Formats: sequence, structure tokens, C-alpha cells
Amino acid sequence: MTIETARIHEILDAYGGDSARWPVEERDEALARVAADPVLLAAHDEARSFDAQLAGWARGGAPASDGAAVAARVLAPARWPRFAAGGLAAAVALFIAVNPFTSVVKTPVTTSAVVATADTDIDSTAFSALFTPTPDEETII
Amino acid sequence: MNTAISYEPDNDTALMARIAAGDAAAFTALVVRLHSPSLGLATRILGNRADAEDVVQAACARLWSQAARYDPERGVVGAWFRRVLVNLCLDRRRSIRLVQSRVTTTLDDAYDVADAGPDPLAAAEINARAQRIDAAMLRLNPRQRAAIALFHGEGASMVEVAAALETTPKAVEGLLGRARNELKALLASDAPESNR
Repeated sequence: MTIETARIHEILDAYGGDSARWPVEERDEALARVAADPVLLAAHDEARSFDAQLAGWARGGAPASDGAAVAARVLAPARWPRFAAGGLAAAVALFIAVNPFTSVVKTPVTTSAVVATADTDIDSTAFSALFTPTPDEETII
Repeated sequence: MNTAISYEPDNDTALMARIAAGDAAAFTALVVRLHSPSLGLATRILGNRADAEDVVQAACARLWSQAARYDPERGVVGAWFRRVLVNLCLDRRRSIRLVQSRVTTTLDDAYDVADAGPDPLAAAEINARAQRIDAAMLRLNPRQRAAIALFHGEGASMVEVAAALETTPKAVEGLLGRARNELKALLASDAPESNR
């Protein structure tokens, strides 16, 4: 099958002048046609010249970059919520423990029997909500 | 100098398995290797270093969060990452349609760019030509630009470009042909009188 002139122009337009990048199944025949036709030869030269311009544009080299810093930035938010959750729980616990207006501290510290009685005054649901660690917090603890 | 995103299939696949299991060291190792060439590709597609840095970081974030979705049967890690990166670049280009307005270098301005290299005249000429192409590239549509950046910048094959753009090699052929012709026309129309 003979390759058509229009197809050779398509190949030059899309792939450029480097025949090593042309479709393997069409390469040999296309090269033979180019060599025998002055118009196609000129188109081939023009394509190679444009390739050289694009190569110069692409030859800028790999830009200086700090991949480790980027990795650290990506990883930071992934780690932050765990520490934030743990820190928040600890801060709430500390606030309740030292705040003189909370019922826990208002309870006189006497014998263990009295403390046990006082503890029953605290809303047990609220207490467990505050002091039961989430799975995330448990991994930190 | 080959600046393309390199492939180390066996090593990369092992790293991806570790990343999927939450191994931060494996993630850092892969990002260190992929980051610089990815930044080069993204800069060529977007024509803007700051946007490219944002997009590469977003691609790295996907690498970390979606590593478990990577299927080695469907291609090597480098190709998967390149597809993610190109998609993010195209999304970015769509979301900032007026990106050209932020580019102050016109095709003619590029002729005035100087360079402090060892041969300032030659370096300035090379630099100016590259900047003229950059300025012309910004006038292409995003997919044309991505196709040129991949085929000529990365040295990717037609099949690899098609994979990155999620289309067929035949479609990429047409895309590249139109892109090269438009680029040539833009460069010719904006060349200074002395070069015409």
C-alpha cells in the first residue's frame, strides 16, 4: 500500500521531523517518499527546524525544587488532626480540673467514700463524653 | 539532559504499596524523585512557576491520599502520577481562564530579555526564543499545550501522551498536529520584522 502525500504531511505536522518518532508501520515508506519528493523534503526540513526550536524551549532542565519539603507539607495536615484532637482533649480535661467553677473541683476532697458519693452528682454521660478517648486519641495515649 | 518523569517500575510499585499502608518515609522518597521533573512538566503546561508548584503539591497530596487506589495492572506509577498531574494542570487552566492576563511577557518583549551567562548574547537569544515559545504556548488551548509539553518536553510517546490525556493515540496525533501548526503560525506572526 502506498502512503499518500497528505498522510506524510500529517505525520510531519504531528510527530515532527525526527523519523525515529514516526509510526513504525509507516516509517520506511514515508522516508522513501520524502527522499524522492523535493516538496516533502522541504516540509521535512521545516519540521526538523521547528523541532529544534521546541527542543531549546524544553531544554530548560529540571527546575530546582525541594521534594522533601513538599512531602513534609503534604504530610503535616494528615498528622495534625490527631495531635489536635489529643491536645484538645487534654486542654479540656485540664480546664475542668483546675477551674473552681466546675462541679468536679467544687466537690470537697475528703475520703474515697465521700468522693464516690460526689461523683454520682456529676452527669455521667457528660463525663464519659469528655473523658472517653476516641480511637484516634487512644493511639496517641 | 532528560527531565522527564522517570520510571523505576519495581521500586515505585513497592513504594506505592508502602504509601498505601501509611508509610511516610516511602512517600517522601517517591516525592523527592518525582517532584523536580513534575515541576518542569507542570511549568511547561501552565506557563507559570507559582501555579505549577501548587499543582505539583496537589498531585503529591493525591499520591498520599489515593495510593491505595493505584492498580499496578493498569500501568507504572510514573504514568499514573503523570495522568494525575496533567489532569490537575488542565483543571487549573480551566479555572483560571484569564491566566494570560497575568503574563507580562509578550512575544516581542521576549526579544529584550537578557541573561548573565558566560556568552550573554547567545544565552539571551536562546532565552528569548524559549520565552517567545512560552508566550505563544499560552495562546494554545490547555490540551494542545499539554500534548506539546508531554511529547516535546517529556519525550513521551504518542501512546504515553494519550494515556496522560485519557484519550486515543489517533486523537493525540490530530491534537499535536493542530498545536504545532498553531504555534508555528503564532511565532511567525509575532516575529520581529528582521526575522520574517
